[in-house]
Amino acid sequence: MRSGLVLAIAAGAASSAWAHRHEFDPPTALSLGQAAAGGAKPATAVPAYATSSRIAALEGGVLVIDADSGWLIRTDLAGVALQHVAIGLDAGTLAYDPVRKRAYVADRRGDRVVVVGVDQQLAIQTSFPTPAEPYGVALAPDRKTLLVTCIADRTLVAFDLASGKGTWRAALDPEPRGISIAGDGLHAAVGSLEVGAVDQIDLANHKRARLAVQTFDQADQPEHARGAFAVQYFGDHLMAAAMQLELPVARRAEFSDHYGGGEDPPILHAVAFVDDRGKAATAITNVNEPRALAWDGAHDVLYVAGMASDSLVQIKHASQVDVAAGLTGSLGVRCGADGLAIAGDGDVLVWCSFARAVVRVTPSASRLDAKVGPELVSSNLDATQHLGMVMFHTASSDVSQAAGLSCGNCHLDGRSDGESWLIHEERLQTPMLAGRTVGTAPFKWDGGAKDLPTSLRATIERLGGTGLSKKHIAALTAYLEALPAVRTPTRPAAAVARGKALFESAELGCTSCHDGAMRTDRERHRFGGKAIDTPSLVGLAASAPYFHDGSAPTLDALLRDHGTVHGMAGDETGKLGDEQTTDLKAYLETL
Amino acid sequence: MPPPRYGGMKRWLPWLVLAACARPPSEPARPARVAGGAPVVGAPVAEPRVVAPAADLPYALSPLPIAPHTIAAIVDGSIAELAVPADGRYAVTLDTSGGVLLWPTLDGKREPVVVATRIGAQVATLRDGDAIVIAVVDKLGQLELVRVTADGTQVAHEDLAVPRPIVQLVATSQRLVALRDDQMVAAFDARGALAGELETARGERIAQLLARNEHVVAVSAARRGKHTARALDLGAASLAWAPPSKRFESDDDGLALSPDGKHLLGSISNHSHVVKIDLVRGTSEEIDDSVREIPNSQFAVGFRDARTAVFVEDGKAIQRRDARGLESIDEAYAHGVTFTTELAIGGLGAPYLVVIGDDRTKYLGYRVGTLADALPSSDGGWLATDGGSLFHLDASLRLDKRIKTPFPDHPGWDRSVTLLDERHAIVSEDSKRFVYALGADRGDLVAGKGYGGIEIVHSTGLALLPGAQPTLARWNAEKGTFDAALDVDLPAYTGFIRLLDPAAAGGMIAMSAADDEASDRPGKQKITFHEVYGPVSKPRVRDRYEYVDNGELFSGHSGPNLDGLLPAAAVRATSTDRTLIVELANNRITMFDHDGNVRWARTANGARGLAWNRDDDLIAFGDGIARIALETGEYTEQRCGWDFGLWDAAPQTATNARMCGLP
Repeated sequence: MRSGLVLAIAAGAASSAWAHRHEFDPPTALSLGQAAAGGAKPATAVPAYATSSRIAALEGGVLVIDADSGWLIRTDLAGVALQHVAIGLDAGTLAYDPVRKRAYVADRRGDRVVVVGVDQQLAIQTSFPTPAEPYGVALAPDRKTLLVTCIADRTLVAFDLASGKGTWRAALDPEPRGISIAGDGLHAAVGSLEVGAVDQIDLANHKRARLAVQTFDQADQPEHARGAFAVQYFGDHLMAAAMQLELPVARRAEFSDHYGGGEDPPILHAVAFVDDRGKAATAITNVNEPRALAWDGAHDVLYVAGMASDSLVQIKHASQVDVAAGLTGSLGVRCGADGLAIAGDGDVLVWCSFARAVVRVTPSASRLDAKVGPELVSSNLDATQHLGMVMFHTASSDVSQAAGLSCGNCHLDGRSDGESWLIHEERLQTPMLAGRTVGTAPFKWDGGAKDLPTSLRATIERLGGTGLSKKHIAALTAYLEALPAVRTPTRPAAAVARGKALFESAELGCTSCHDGAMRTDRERHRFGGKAIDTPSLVGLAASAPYFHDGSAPTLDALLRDHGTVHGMAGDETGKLGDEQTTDLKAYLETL
Repeated sequence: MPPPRYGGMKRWLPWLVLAACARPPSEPARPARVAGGAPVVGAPVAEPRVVAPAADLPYALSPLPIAPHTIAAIVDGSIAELAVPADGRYAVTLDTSGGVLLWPTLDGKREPVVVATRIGAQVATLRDGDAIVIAVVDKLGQLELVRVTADGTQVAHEDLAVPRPIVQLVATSQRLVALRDDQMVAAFDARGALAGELETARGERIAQLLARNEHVVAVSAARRGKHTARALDLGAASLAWAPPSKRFESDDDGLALSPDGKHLLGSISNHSHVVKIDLVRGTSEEIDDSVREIPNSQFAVGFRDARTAVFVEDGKAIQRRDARGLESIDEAYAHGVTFTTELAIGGLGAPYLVVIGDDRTKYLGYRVGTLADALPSSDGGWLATDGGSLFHLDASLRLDKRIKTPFPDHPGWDRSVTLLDERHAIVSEDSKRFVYALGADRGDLVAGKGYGGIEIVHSTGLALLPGAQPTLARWNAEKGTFDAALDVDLPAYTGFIRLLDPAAAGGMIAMSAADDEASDRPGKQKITFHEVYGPVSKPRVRDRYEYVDNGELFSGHSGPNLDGLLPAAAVRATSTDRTLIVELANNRITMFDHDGNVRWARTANGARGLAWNRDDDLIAFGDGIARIALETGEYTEQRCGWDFGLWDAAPQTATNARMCGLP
């Protein structure tokens, strides 16, 4: 095999592949630039309940789950609240069975799926215990099986609705989110924040296949897909994922201290189409932080919305994947779109998580007309924290060059994108934010920022932003400090206890640096000639890859020091036996 | 009902999540969030008995769908990866779109075929008896194995479950060797069975795996620009590392292994010098001629044999033989070649393979890629042009013969060709057009006065002959002339004039802007639509429109943006019996019946035109040709690329295989 010879002609070819990237900015007609993944005929429609969403259309109303308050709210057609029932803070998504008039809602912190009767009143009927941190909920087309993705335990669990019992589980990729089930009920697709793929689960034998999405490398540097919050099946074989494409290396190394090393943002926003028979195509959208999809199978149009763009994009002929025509329209409010649904009349229902309101969008041949409903519930955040949350998901020129990036682009869900970026000619891993911003100063991998506001200003400067006011820095700080730590996976208590003993043993000496509540001494230590700030280990299971440069892709690799030259873990932990390594890993994953 | 407000229901709640996470109690105080509602817990059912996920069996093989048929195709863009066996009898390439092609032979007698896999990022290949095994690593580091016959027919297609993503894959004649992202090395036989797994030596980090013949060497980065290398012993039962080499100086990338596995060819100081590295002695000897240190000017290519190294110096290919010193060699080596026992095979960055043997360089590929126009011929085949040359395709869409033309005799020819009919074509020179009758020899000029421009609608034979005195005419194929002009007062319109397909434009054939309000001036534009039905001499004015140049309708055009105004931009073609009309617009093909009902609509990326023959075969052409099923719109036959062979000169083919996707 021959690869990687860096010659001008090869670099030119790679650039041309980059140019083939299809940018979808309706209503301009464009082409995909690669073979379309769709078939000659539109796909058959898939019921709405087969795809997880924050919002569902009812007959004569709307059902929405507000993660901020944890309330399931029923509204009328105008988006005016009628009833609510509390599910739990940071609730996940829902699926609504229109025949049984039941909603299945993920209680993300309560580790259960709550079954809510949606009749004259909203009434909790029962709940199903789940693995840790349920999020995506979808109902099989025959409405007999409920599938739930669980983030912390990286598990898909199936429930037989007749008996209410869990029947099987399948392993998922890290940070799973939305789920959609194929029209024939044979497969499910699950999006992941940290893997450039859609997990496809064979529902008969519970096996998983990873379907890679089309990305576009530049000058031999791989582009990665990340942040698949939402997926949507078209018919039986084809699916779409709302994603972003990241090029974590500087286009020009000498500008590696600046905005991806060039003029273009290093992250673009996409809808990736994947067919389980090997085809794939990707379209770039103008929807920043794409977060929600909904397919109107009757008209074969796909809608896309995101947290950082207050617009809705419609893609025509979606299941044929020609991505050549469509519309874009304003949502009319600082929305934070986090859910989409199709109403019976073809209108689009948008859940605006910032405004906590339903926006009803009426599509016509040439326009998308939005009507903003009233605020349904107050935020649990105080005003400063709420402002910080909105800013976190805002791609303004204050924050980044040409308003290309928001904080949430790299710190997906306040976490990390699992990438290592070339910054100052050094690869540095995107740090986890959730739960790691209090009691962990200084910040940055070299400990160069004494506090969080200093760190935020430095990041904004590197991204080419013009800068934020003191008030806005304070708001961002307040929001980040209020972010709860990520949930930890379920591990055997005995193994965790043994691992804890190992961690605290003098022989291993882990606590000489990773001490205290946040598991950091907040000091700098020299590794490989560089001074590195001791990172907090809170939320370690969700923060791969490891080491400041991301050189250890797994905790196993870190503990056994496979191929790392940092000389930190390997000297001692490398001597551990397999069982001890497993125990230590189990403990670390529960931090 | 008034909208309910729930703001007054805020209340403080303990940190439920912290309890759930079993966080240490001494965690620093975190700013509180206000909880808006306590979870109301329904009666939970008992913990269900759940079948836990079965752990993926490491390196298990599971079947994937086998492609039902093969498609011959040019590469989509250019070659990004190249894999060849040690004997250099065939090649496997990966193009910049991730498509995999098998080039069954390198003698020009067998076209490359599409290998149906997921989108590839790396390829490697080896033989297993008569079968060719192609290993494809996708962008996720997943590995799939495709077993094909020599003609590219898939006989097996399997997924190999690697526990961690593969970051590099190399092949010997017997083994596939993979480096995982966790620095584990695994070897597989040609059937995908695990032949051994080995950890990277403690404290080392493999930067690159290199393979040549039966040798595999791992190069690890040490400190301060130094590296070490270890040979991998691919024993039958297990893998083992040889002792590490002495440290040597080298850049991290662009290394090549010698045939005997004892030397590396690489570079130092950010590709400022090419060095030959002796793995036994740990020495890096500069072998280039450069006295200056110019970064990114020197690149190692590889060892032709144990004594001969090839590299690129300032863009020029250089060979250094131990006995003969430096020699300039064919620039084709700069395309990134792989040395085999007899050949050097390259083509990275190009849409063709470079095949170098006995110091003769040949180019393996297609000389015709995209098609600008195609018309049915009376023998059931097709007359086609790539915009420069004319050729005849047989009924199965293969190249039958090239048609000799005198077009290159026009010194100002811009390599554009317009097909008038099966026997006539137009070429342009500067701003003039010349009509030729195509003959067995080179064709004859039949209208050499030089029209200023010709637009023709094949379905009607109508032509617009702008020139100084624009006229509308009918092309008379029998006579090979333009017959009497239709009576449209075109000279009165010196603005934009365009001929439209009546089938597409609802009977409209021409439109023009009044000269007193020239189209390149802002303000109102008048556009007149004429229509013609039947063999009348005087088209009637159908509509007059006024448009305001508001920067939208007319933006980016010297004249009105007709494409945006009318469906006329669509290409339409009518079946012989006039019962079906097929339209190509916005990268979609739509089939209508004669009542205007849509039968089907499909995507058509890469298609530029449509044509029916008298047997009502329908094709779309552009970046290839596809025959289309009239009932479903499915592509039933596809071909991308014509005039395949082993050529003395690099084929200057515009390549885009978008109409030849995976089977």
